[in-house]
Amino acid sequence: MNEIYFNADAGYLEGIVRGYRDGLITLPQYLNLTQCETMDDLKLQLATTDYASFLQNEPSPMSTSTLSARCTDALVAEFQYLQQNAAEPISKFLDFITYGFMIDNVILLITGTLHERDTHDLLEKCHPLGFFDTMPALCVATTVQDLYSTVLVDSPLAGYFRECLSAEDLNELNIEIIRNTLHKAYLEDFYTYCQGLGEPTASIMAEILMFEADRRTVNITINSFGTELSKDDRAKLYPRLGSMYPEAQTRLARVDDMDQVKAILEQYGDYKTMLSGVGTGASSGGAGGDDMSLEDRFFAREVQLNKDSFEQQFHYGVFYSWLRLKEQEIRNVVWVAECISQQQKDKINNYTPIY
Amino acid sequence: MRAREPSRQDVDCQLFELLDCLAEYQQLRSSSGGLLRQAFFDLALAKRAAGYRWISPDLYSGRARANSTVAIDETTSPNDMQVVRGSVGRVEHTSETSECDFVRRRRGRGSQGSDQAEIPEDDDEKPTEPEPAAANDPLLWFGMLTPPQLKDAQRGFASSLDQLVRLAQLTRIMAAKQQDIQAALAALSVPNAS
Repeated sequence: MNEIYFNADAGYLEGIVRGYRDGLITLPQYLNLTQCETMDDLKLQLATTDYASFLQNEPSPMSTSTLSARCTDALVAEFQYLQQNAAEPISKFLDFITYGFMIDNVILLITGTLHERDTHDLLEKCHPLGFFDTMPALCVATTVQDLYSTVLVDSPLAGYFRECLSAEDLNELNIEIIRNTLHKAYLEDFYTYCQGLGEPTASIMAEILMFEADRRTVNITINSFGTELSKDDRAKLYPRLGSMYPEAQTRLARVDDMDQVKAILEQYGDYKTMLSGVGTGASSGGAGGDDMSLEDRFFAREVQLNKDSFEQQFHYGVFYSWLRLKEQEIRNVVWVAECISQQQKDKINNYTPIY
Repeated sequence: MRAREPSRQDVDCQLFELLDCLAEYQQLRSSSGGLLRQAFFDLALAKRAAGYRWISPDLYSGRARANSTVAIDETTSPNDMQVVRGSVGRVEHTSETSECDFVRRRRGRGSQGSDQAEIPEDDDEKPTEPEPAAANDPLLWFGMLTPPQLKDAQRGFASSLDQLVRLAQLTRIMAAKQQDIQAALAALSVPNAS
């Protein structure tokens, strides 16, 4: 029955997003990109992709930051087209996707305010998909209570701040804790929402979001080594879902180095396969694409999950998956550009191809 | 008393010194080039890991100032360059008011390291050793949980600083020696002295 009514509500948009999916850069196109010697060559090769219209007016030489910004503009334009043509319930799903960007914008603004950056500059740097009406008022908040009571109480993020209100002043440590706590609450809420949408969206999104939770757990663990974040605080930042919840998370909260992280992950079938061949210097990028780091393997796994999402019809997961695949594509293109700029041609193949 | 005219042996000695400086320059240039190349690559890796939006000049502090400077005494020894390293904790304070606000914010959740809540009054006081995890480490501009690659990049840039200063110093020394040699050759009335 879901199939019958799905097309009435979201059939057009599913067709659009599948068209977007078909516009993703393929492996032969990536091979052409990696053969480029200069940024101008790269720009010429990208003229045959969906980024053509966004890059054509950029003056040479184009920097990698400009390339990243223009590619993001292309993604934003496509996603906003979906939002503008969406009605309930698909519009709610698309709004949920934007909450992650809102969290990033909130953190960017309060961090910039802490560091005495110009407010107008900060607002221009925010992600367009995460913009909400009261966002500019964030720059006047000095405590978490101010943040909540004056700005965020009327925003979609209000419910996620419940766990953050115990923090007092806004300093670097607290801001990082707020950032990860918000993402944790968002992920859990998104998961619960997707479960309420029924099959097949529930199962497809569950697998994707649980993997995202696992990746966040591992990244928080690795990035917290040598920082002021206590082990108890580290454990509080882990999302309460995923295959690592709760047993592996309890153990990961106590580790001190990469070897211990690997030892724990190897006890889980999926991650054991993923970790095979990853060395102790797993945090650094591989050389020439043959030596994949842990991070590259997480990217590859994410790409596979999101590609698999398109194998079924009549579910909302395709919208989330397309967005993540597009972000990965931008990451790949900018990586190739960085290698060209830095004359690191032996590392240029260290991207994650999608199709 | 007339200054002793340079002999050919003196010129030879100066030439050998110049060649020694050149050898050191080439070696340092190769070494620092490798360090910087790796550091920029680590930075690219960090941007890919954390997101290009999160590791960018957009997150630089508005109160940032140089943590290390190069001291040159132009009057007495212009070829002598010394790297003067401030504390990692000195990066962000200008006026007294902003300094107090910053202390108040930092003391909101101080945990490890008793030196985090202290603002030494003497700006020239040298620390013992800069620690990447210090309270005012510039890496904190990008968040507390930065990817390890960003820390590697910082380490690479910091370690190349001394070499780069030495390269600048050698450039000055070699230019001075070249002038001395040219003058000495001219004094010896050697053709093709320039």
